[in-house]
Amino acid sequence: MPDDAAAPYDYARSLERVRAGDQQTARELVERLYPVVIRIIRAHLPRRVQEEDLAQEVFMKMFSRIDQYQGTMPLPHWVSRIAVTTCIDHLRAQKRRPEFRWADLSESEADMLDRVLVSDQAAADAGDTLAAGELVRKLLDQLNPSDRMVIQLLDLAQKSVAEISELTGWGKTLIKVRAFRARRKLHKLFLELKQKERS
Amino acid sequence: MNPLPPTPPEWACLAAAARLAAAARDTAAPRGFAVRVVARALGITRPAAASLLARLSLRALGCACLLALASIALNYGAIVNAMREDIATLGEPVTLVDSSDHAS
Repeated sequence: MPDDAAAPYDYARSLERVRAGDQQTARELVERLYPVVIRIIRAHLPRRVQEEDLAQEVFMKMFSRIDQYQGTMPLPHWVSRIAVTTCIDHLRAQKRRPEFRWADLSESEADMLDRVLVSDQAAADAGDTLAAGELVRKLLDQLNPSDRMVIQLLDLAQKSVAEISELTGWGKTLIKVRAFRARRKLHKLFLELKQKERS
Repeated sequence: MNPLPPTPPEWACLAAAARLAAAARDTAAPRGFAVRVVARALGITRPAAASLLARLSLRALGCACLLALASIALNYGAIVNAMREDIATLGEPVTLVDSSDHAS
């Protein structure tokens, strides 16, 4: 399976071939870039949207804009940026953010939330990590799309501010402002959840 | 430069657990995904541009034919009159020659 960490791949040559209409190389390029794109999509997937549909949209955009690619940044970064902006557009299109309530959580999600509310990392890691992923998604749904994007890249993808700036095209100060806003909102949410649990 | 704001401990805990789940998921493209995407992107979109041009030129040809027929239908009387006049004038040189002969 293609991976960025594997042997260096000649993107420039591939692009040349794709621009000339070589479908085999285009397929190779899609398979090589798919892991990069799907990680971003899974992290920012809006409700009621299939990850494969969104991935297809990203690659369709990539091919339609391939003549605009100047080579000023590595191709995977350029495609990542397309994925990020596509996800933000879809998140913004969601008119309403669902309220986060204990009653809406599954048993495993509620169990995981109990574990993290006491900030017990070992207990959280030992719990259902899929439930953790679902909880994260539900909490991120409470944030506005831009703040959500920053906090996800920062805390889940563990990107640096400089990397986020490269991916999104936003300035470092703006990223920090968004991170601050997102973390403050998350902190407030956890406080509310603790109070509701006690009550 | 200002440092980043602190992460809420509950969020840090949850994010760490979620990272474990994310790392375990397969990131390979599903079977047939690349074929489908490339067929749509390269196989359909590019010829679509060419066929659009063909469709537009055919439509333009059709419009031109309709306009030509409509203009003939609208000006039918004038065209017939003009043709009659043309036919009539075919004999005129003879008439003109005759009249000049009479004048002289």
